[in-house]
Amino acid sequence: MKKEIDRKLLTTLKAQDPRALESAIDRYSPYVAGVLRKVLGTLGTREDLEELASDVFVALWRGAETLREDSDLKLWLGVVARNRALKHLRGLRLELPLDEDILPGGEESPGRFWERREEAQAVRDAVLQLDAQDQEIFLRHYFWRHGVRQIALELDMKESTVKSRLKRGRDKLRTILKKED
Amino acid sequence: MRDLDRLLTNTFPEELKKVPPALVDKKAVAAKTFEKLGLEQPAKHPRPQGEWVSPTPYRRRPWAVLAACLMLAVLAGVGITLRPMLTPNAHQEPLPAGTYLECAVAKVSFDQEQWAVVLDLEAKTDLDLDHPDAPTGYDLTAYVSRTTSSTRSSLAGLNQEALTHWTETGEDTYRCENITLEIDPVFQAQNQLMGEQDLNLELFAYFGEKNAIGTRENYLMAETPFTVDLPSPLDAFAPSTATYFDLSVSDATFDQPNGTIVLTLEAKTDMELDNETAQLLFYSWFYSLYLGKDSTQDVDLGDYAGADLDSLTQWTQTGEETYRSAPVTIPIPSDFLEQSGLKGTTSGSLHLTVSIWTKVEIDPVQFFSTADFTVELPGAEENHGNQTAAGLLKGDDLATYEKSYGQPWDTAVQELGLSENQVTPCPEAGLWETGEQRSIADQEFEWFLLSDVTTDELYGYWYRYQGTEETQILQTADRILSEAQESYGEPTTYPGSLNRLSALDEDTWNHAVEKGQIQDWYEEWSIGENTRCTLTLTVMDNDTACVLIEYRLAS
Repeated sequence: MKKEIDRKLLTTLKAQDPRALESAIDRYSPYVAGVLRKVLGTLGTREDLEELASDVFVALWRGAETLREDSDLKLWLGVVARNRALKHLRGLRLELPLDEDILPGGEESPGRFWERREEAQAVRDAVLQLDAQDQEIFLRHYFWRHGVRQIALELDMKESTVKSRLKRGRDKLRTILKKED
Repeated sequence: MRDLDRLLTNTFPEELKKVPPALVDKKAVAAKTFEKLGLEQPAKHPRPQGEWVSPTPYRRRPWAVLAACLMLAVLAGVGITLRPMLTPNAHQEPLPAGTYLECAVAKVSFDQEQWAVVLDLEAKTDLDLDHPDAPTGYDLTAYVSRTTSSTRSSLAGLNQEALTHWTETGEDTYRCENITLEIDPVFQAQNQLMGEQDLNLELFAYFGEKNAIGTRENYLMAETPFTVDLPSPLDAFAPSTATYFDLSVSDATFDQPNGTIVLTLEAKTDMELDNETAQLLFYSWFYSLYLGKDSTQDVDLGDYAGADLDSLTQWTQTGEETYRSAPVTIPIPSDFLEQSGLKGTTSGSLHLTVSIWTKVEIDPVQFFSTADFTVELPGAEENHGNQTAAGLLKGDDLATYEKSYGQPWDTAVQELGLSENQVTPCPEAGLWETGEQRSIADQEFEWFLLSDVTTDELYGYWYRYQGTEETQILQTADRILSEAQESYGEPTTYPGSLNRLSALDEDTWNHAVEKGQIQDWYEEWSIGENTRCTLTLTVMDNDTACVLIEYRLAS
């Protein structure tokens, strides 16, 4: 049912029907706000949230033409929202620096890298091999860009523990990815 | 890092999709979006002005008018042909559409028992809210929210069903009473939602035909502020004063694949451990784990506070003032056991501190408790890897025995680490007593060797336990049977056998013991590469009974 609704929404969005955009906002703006809030934490005001959410829907309106009708609309909006929020943080010079780079072979071009689907699968497998808590910490840091202090506070842990668990995750990921190479 | 961004984004879509929604002003987002795109917004909503909003004429959208006309035309056409088949109440007449909606909170109170705000609403509208079909012909929903300096948060818990019951109190004026808004005391405490609070209520009334996705396109909205005095949950939900907390560990295991010690705790206390609100608002937990062979050599693994606090808040009452915890999972660093030399049966102690913060301005009530336990850690294969918990053969021990099958007698004895003087023949041909014993099911079994009298080659072993305590011997056999079934699988005994050990009941056993005639019951398994294991329980004719375990070359 949800997929059917999304398909109809996308069809009418492609036809540039403003009512479809309004429906998309009505349906997905709380989710988009959730993703924005997850990245921004307490840094964004309500106005920031509304502004960034509207940017996401502007992107949807402008990009609808390129979307396939069976696209996962929610995921698409989530990706755009996350990127928009990270860009906003960069603009404020508030993006938290990551502890250290992970991937081996840093000279490899992004395009070539991404084309290797098996490597993406290896990353997923590697992260999934971490124990549940290491996984949670890893994704909070590298996916949501939460700082060590924030993670420590939210998970009620010592900062040193978070750091050592991140290091363990990085080491494991490196080992696995080197093997893949 | 961009590579990793993309990899993570594309390989962990669930991370994105599981994000819960956040409160956002949809109207503001829509207005900004349409403004940025230079588009005219399809629908404008009435804005609140003071307590009552100004009536805003409802404008039906042209496409909807067209759709309605088409629908009416179709209905008319169908109606002409199907009218005789329709019963008078087969479909509901459309309810009147509305053009304006105003709303006000007429009465507000707080019900301590339900821990809920109770509202009476008044609405002025040309919607027929007390029409008998109104509950299904209109969809009414309301939201209560609080706006602070930077955020606006909705309060869940409004009884939406109450909005289907309106009474006309005057011309185009309706009243809906006793709408409850349950307040979550934890949310309330965490968000300082206490004392006089300025809240906002939005009432949406949807009307008209439902579209393909089951919603109505047309709606009116009214918004009204109201003030309510919310009592503090810290007083109302404070648990009774606790005076004791005794802790024990009822189960301790090591989860090897995950490298964790899993403890199930038992507590005797007058705390309200299964009170979720008390747990979230008033109790906090801290624990440390120590592992070591004795108290003077304890190894401090460090504290794991926070690593698994959730399970320390989940308790189930099992008796009067007695509770059992959810499994507490404590990660053990993979290299720790190796470095500390801990393996096999290991003692440990859990130090648990619980703090009760019923009065935040003073020191908490605290209980400091310690529970000792033993846990079976990995790395003790030299002791236990080659036998089951009860002592039956498996692994390398079984393989060694299997290698000895068919060997010349002298070689076999030597390879088993026995001396020729030690092994003496029994009256029964081919049976040899070793003088050695093996502990099986906590009993000392005598070890015998079996040799082929024609070839003088070793072909099997016996373990025998004999005594006069028949009940205890039966229990020993039962325990070995269970263990063998767990370790060796289902017996391969001929199903039609009349004296299967697994079918023996206590009455039959007692009767056989009383008769004092030789009788036996048995089960067989095929194990290892080429071994048949037979477990036999025998009543002897000299007021004794015995359990015999035979491992021999499978024929």
